[in-house]
Amino acid sequence: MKKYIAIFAILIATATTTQAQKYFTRAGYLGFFSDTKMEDIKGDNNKVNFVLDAATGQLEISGLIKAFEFEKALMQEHFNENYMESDTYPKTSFKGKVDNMAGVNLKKDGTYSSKVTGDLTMHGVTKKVTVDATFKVAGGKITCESKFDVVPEDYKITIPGTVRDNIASKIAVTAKANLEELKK
Amino acid sequence: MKKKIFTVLIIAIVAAAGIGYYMWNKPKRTAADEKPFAITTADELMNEFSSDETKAWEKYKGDKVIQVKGKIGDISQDSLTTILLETQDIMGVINCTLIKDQNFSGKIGDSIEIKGICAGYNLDVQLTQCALVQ
Repeated sequence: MKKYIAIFAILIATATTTQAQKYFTRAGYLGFFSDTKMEDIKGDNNKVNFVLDAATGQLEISGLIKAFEFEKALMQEHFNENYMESDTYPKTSFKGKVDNMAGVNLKKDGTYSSKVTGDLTMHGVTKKVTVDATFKVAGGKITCESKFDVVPEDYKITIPGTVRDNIASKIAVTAKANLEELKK
Repeated sequence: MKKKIFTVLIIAIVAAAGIGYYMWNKPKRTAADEKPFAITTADELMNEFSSDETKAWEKYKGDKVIQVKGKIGDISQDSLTTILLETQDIMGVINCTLIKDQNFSGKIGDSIEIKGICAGYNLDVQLTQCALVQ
């Protein structure tokens, strides 16, 4: 993995003209939880790309819909075929900015909070969102995390009336990653 | 007559419950016992996606099983084991998540053949529900 990080670093470094400091991971986490009286549904994806530019606060996240793992095969099938239509819309992404990047010092231990604003895309629909995010720096290790709610209908995900009670009207989403610095 | 209807009804209910129970606990589809749709190498597969992602996705979408030969670049373990196969593309790897009950004792540098369900391209090509090909 070290080798890939190094190579990735060189590429990014040569691709950017500025001396911007970038942080990234390919093993970020994206998960969601739907909690209803009928059943709990949980999906986890541990193969999500995060790239953060510490100079500008630019943040990009991307993941594959089919890489979400579920407890039950049937949940995974319904998620991909009926709701997310992952053959047609294979990816989800976020492109935005950490609003208060100036107040986040990734070189100094501490916990920093900021709003993150940008475009969230899933199921072929892009929406502007603003969410709360936390950056934790401890002994050179950087963790970023955000929890927010998503309403399926906002992304043209139609849930039939017969199973509407089985799926929460607001889905709790968690995005989390340990970021590594790209070194030249 | 009434008794007959009653019996039929009971049978229908039991059958429906049985089907429901089976569906609910249906095992996950794995690549282990499926014939691959394509047999290729890590380099070729990466090349297909990095040169024309749309075309490659058209070919492999619909949960197609791909069998890939490659060299292990890295192994990581959380709740599931993930194997990264190296490619000549300096950015890309084939990212393979093994099925839960797959025994695996390989190490970095080993040449292996693996088959899995194509999840798409996200800088790396991701395969899920992977099994080793013996």
